[in-house]
Amino acid sequence: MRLEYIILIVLMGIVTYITRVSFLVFFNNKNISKVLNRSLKYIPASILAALIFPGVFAPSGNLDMAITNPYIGASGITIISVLLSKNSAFSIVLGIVSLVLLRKFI
Amino acid sequence: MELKSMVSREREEFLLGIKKTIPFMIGVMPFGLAYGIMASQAHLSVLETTLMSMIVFAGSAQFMAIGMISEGVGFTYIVISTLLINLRHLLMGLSLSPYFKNLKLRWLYLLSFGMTDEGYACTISYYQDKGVDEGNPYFMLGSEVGLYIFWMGSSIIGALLGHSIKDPLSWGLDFAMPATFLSIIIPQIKSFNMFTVFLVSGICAVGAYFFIPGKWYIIVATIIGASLGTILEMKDDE
Repeated sequence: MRLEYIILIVLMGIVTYITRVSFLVFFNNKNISKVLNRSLKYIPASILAALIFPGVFAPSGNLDMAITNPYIGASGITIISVLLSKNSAFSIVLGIVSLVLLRKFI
Repeated sequence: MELKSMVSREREEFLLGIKKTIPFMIGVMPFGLAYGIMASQAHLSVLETTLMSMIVFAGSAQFMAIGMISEGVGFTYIVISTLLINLRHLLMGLSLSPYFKNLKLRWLYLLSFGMTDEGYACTISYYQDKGVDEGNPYFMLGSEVGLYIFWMGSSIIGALLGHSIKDPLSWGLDFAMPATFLSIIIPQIKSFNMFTVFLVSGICAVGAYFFIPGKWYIIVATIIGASLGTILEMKDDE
């Protein structure tokens, strides 16, 4: 264990904790305005979309909307599987397997 | 009698939190492994690698830090980048806060520590699905504990495997994260407004991803998406 790494890790931990704790605690017990309250409902879908889309449409950092992009096909298969089977663990595994297969055959 | 039923209810929610997070734990594993392997290749010891997972517990920040350490970037810059990468947690905390408005502060301090993308996604979708005004904190705690154990375990295994696996992400495991997020969000899209928000946020994220450095694209896309959803809903009311 090197001291400078321990300091780095602790500082990283502190700033991460600050981002996690501040809004959760700060907005607690306070009246959130009606408009803000409405927008909160849409935050999860927005955040998840922001986490999903770049990984699918720009997997290697460049935009790839072509049919040969295996991530798009694998996402389609995952979505259909979620809708039909309603089983997320199964759909995730199916998505990963189809990505590997698509990558091989496209 | 009442106390007993309360205790069993807490345990039930805690276990349900773990159970509902299992797909995410599976999704997190390849990243923990990859993180451990990358850290060992950046010459971090097993203990240092594990300590980072224990204290920081934030996948993308840890990946970024390892990348920067191997590039020889200064530690001050790494800490600032960690802060910026994690700013998205502000919005997650904001959207969870209404569910915890009657909760003791010390609960919030505890739950905040473990609030990752996955734990958040699982918890908020559970609360929204149940349509409750107050979320049971034991559910989120269970979800967080489950993820924490898996993240820790896979980091350690990755660190120990070290150099023997060269490119773990080439086996399609880089799709584990998008696939897990898809599996949680697709069932949540029940209205046209939600679908529009999802689509527009995603498109904005891709656009911003190319033009804005760091992880700002997530925040930009989220603010646009949430604002759009609010506007659409207000239009419906009229």
